Amino acid sequence: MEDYVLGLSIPLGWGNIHDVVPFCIDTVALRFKLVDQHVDITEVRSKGIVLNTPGSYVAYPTIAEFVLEGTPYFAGGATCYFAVSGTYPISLTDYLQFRTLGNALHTAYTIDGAGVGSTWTPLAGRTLGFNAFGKQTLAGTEEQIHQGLGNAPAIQPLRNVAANTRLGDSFVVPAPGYFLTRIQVFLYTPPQVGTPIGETSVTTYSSLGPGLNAEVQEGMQGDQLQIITGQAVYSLTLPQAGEDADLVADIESPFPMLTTGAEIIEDLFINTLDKDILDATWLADFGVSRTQMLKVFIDREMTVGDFIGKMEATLLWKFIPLQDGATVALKYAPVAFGGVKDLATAPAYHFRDEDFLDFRVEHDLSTVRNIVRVKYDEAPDTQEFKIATAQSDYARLFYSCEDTVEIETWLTGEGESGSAFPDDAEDLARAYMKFFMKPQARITFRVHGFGLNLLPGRDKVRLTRSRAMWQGGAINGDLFRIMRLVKSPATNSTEMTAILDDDTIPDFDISSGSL
Amino acid sequence: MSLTDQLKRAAKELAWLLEIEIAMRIDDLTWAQVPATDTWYITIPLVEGRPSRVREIYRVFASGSGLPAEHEVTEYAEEATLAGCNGNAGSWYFENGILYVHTTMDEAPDSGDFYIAMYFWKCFCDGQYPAPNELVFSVAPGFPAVWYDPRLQKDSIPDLSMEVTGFQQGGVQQTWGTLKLNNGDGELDAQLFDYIWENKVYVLRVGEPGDAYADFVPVSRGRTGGIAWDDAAVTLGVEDPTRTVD
Repeated sequence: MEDYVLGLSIPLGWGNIHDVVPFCIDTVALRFKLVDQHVDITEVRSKGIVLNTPGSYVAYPTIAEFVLEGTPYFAGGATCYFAVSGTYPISLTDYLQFRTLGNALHTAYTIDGAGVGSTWTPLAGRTLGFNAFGKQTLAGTEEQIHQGLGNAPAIQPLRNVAANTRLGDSFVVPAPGYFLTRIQVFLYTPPQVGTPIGETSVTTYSSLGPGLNAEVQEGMQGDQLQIITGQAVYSLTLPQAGEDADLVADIESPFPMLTTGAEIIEDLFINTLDKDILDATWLADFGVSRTQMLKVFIDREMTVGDFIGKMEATLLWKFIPLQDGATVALKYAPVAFGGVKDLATAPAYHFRDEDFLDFRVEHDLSTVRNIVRVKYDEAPDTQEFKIATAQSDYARLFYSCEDTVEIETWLTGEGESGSAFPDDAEDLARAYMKFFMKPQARITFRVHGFGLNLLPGRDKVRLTRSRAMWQGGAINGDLFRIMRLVKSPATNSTEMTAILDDDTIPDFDISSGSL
Repeated sequence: MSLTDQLKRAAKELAWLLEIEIAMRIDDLTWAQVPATDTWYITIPLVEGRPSRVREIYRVFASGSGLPAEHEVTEYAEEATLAGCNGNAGSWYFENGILYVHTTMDEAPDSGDFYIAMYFWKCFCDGQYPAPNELVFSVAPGFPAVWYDPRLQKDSIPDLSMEVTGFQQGGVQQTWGTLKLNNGDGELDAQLFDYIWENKVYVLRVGEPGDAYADFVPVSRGRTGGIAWDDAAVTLGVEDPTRTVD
């Protein structure tokens, strides 16, 4: 039983995770490990700054690693080019006003376009007003390595026309060479016209020269600062490598994204565990009837058995192993949750009075609840859930019940468009309420011989009995689903517990809502 | 007769009474309106004599003054006359096998806006006796005298223990169990389905054959639990009444 599938730990998860702290596995090469499986790295941030790739890091998704490029280093005498860009849209009415200065030894640039191939148009004899800072060693002290000097201040708008989508400039890095840490740019007074909405950042380039070739050598991207009305100076900080990098990453499973129950179950059994034990027809049917968006966190260890249990609670179905090792699943689908009920609908047997060795009926009061709380859309950092509730006045009045049951799920509460969509959780709460609003009527009986080949959950029987605690005091060929089987080969008998197979449970006025 | 007297006579034959206030859903029945009133009526031929109370939950969830609170149970007031029922919302009146109801919102009971439960006492004993010792009693003033149905299996009455715990623990520890009603004739088969027996008030009394009803002493008052049925008997759970708020 060691490799019994329900006992295996799950080596792969699904969904996306934010703010994963990587583990540095090579402090020299600056190689970081995220998880032990193939994931897509969607974003890496250092001290809150979003890093570019390529440029700031190189991702290796199949092994879930990335290598951080070093803090931009310029040798003494090298020319460091940089470009300032903004995320706000090109506009004649809303833009920032940068300050330029007359300086015969410098050349600033207006840049038409956002990437490689953009035209760098020189503003000869003028320089952007800027200071540059750097450190001789990563652990060293920051020093100013360039000071913006000049006369005749003038306005240079950023992004008031297409040609000015970026502004560029350069400076010569002093000896002995520096790790570039920060570029401070000056704004005119007033610093802005209209209301430019967005962020500003700086990108450094190699010393090859401005223009097409230089942009191929794109370097680390700098800080992204919110535009602040009235601020005259921006400090655009470049992310630093090393122990102070303060890195976090966002990761998600390889495409296609697995978000539905059928996708996740298929991936778990077939692709991950290599246990092709699912009935293909069932799986397709399950995929059609259970389209709710789920999210499963991959940073938590759980066994397949626990995983299946929570998935069953989330999507109202049952995972039932067959005698031959194959597996079939059963879907409970009350009206409010939609979908096909199950595969097996034909009753296996029709038992009558003369077949029963004993027969009893039970009403289990302990199952009654008048409030169902479905927990969904868990916040991964705080592990707090949103709550959808369903409430039954039927249980409240007729069974004097004021008990609550809570069910934790992986429902996201989002529709496929990503919009708020608590309907799934509310529907599930309403569906559960139908199970809890009155005592479950269970019939337990024992018969000779029959039933040794039956399965609980899947198979059904018809019952006819002239006496029972039932409507009119008798059962007349009603259809029941077997929920429990005790097979006794020694006596060639089987004890079965069954419930009424009723998929037309009336939709009582269950009130529901979401928090 | 006092309980002390009963205990002194423990060696003598005692009679046990079991009374259960079971419920019946009545908002799903078809009602007729008393002309020119907000009162509705239906014929309910109760062999038990008469209802004990009627309660409602108004299921239309809307805010506003004058509406019953959501999910709250409203206990109808019993009126002494039909005119009283006509004039008071949230009341009931019973006469000659006919139940009159005036709902809280003046609507028909079967409008779909309500759940309404009618309660009545089912009375059992562990054995009947010839005259003049018949167990025929009224469970409360104003209730007709009914024959107690001799279905209670005396031997099935569970040990009901109570233990006062230390002050630091709080409360009283009690144990409960089950009791059985003979049902070999199938008399209760349909009734157990049609009426609601779970989580209902029960009272177990003991007395001597020939005693007046007032001389039967309450031994246990609790709530019924789940039900188990077989061909011979019905097993009722008996549980702590404090488990349920109302």
